[in-house]
Amino acid sequence: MENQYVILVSPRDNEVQLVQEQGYKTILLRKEISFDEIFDVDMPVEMDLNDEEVVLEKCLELAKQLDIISVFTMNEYRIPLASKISEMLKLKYQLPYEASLSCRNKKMARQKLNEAGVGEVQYRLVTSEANLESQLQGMDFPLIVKPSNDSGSKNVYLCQNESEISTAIKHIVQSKKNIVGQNIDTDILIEEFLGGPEFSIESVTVNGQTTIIGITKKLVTPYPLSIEVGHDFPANLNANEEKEIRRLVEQSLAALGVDFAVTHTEVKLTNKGPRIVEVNARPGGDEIPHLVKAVTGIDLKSLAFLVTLGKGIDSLDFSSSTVPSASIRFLLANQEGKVSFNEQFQSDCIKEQKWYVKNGESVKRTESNFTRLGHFIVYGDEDTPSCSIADSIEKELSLTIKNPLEI
Amino acid sequence: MLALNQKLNSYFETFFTEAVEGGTLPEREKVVAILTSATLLNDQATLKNAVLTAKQLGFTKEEIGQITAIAIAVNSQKLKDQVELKVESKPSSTCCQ
Repeated sequence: MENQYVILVSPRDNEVQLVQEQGYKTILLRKEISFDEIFDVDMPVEMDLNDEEVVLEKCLELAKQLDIISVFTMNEYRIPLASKISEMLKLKYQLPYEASLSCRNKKMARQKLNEAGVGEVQYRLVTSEANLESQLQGMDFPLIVKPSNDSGSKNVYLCQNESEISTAIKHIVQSKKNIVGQNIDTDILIEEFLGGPEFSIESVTVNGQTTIIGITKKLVTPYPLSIEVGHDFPANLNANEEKEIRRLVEQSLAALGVDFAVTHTEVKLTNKGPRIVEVNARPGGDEIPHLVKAVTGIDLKSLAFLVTLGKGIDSLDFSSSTVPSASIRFLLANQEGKVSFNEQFQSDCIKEQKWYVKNGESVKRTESNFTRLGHFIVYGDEDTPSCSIADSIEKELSLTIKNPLEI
Repeated sequence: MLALNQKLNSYFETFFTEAVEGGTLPEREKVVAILTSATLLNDQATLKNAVLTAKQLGFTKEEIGQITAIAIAVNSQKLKDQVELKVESKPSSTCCQ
């Protein structure tokens, strides 16, 4: 193990630490590496990760000198590249490249799931607003219009009529590149609106066997903004709902060919049954791994690395103490103005609290996940579920936004 | 500015490439020279690239630290010598004599 290396493709979380904790050496691939990061890793390599040919060539060259046993990233945008490198290096355990693309690209996921007859969702692919009327035949409004391969709910529109669809398409075609400089797929997805409560399913697949670790209830503001305001783990579902969701996720991951990966699958429980919103071949964001670890003892991020070595849940060191439930709540600005909150507020119930803004700072109205003001995490106990504790704490934080006209 | 004179600029480019990429020194020794000069010139961009290359060539943190230490030591020695020289050559006061 001492001289075995793991390639980390533009990590966005604590990948370096996770790999080093397991005793492996690290090769870091990133467009720009900071001075601190250079010293944190064994082999820093600066390169344009959008130039796939150069990246693959460099990795082949490294593999001739070093014993590379895994390629790992939790960076959504770089998962297909990590899979492609693994495939080229013929590593024993890998998320198949085709599956990584299907997870990254919503168009491909829909195609594969519908072909397999798993949770079918009506959709169309368009490249412009031309011939919309004929394209939309057989579809009922409202409809969702979104890019095939962007992230973070960017450019996702709920449309009530053809004119709104046309406007949404015009907006989407203007974005040529995503935030990491990759080309946006020219195929735009128009799909039926999935109404109903939303959940995310945290799971792991090893050797084709999927284990559902748990189901998280997602709290979202109503359309058109659709901002994530909280998550509760575990979700409070009846046995039948849970069984249906589990079955859909297991079938979907199999249809997409997912293997050797921790996945975070978003599902809506519609009146026609559960339907897939998207499948992500990485642990969920928004501190969901924190909630899962508090309740199950399972560290999803460590597991995400261990599966690239062919290991499963049984290889993890479980946390000794767990709680019945855990919740996170995000704080939003309901209008533009100066933010004010009780900075001194403390509660034994709060296990983690983070403000992304300073008290008194001018903030914009929260219109996406990127402009939320902060978050806190609470644990439940045998008597009170974490969601109830979270709701009462939120009131005590006394968050107010004063409009410039009110000051 | 050197680019204003294409001919001289081209000579410089050739010289630079030959000095840094060519020559007889092994890669490891070249990177030591670059690290040392970048430290002395406080050239952060060159220093970062040199550290990156040093890590790729297998230098440990301690080895990189020592190269930097040598550069700092030689530089400080010069400063120390200058200060000592000034103290020695300072004319002594005669007011109490």
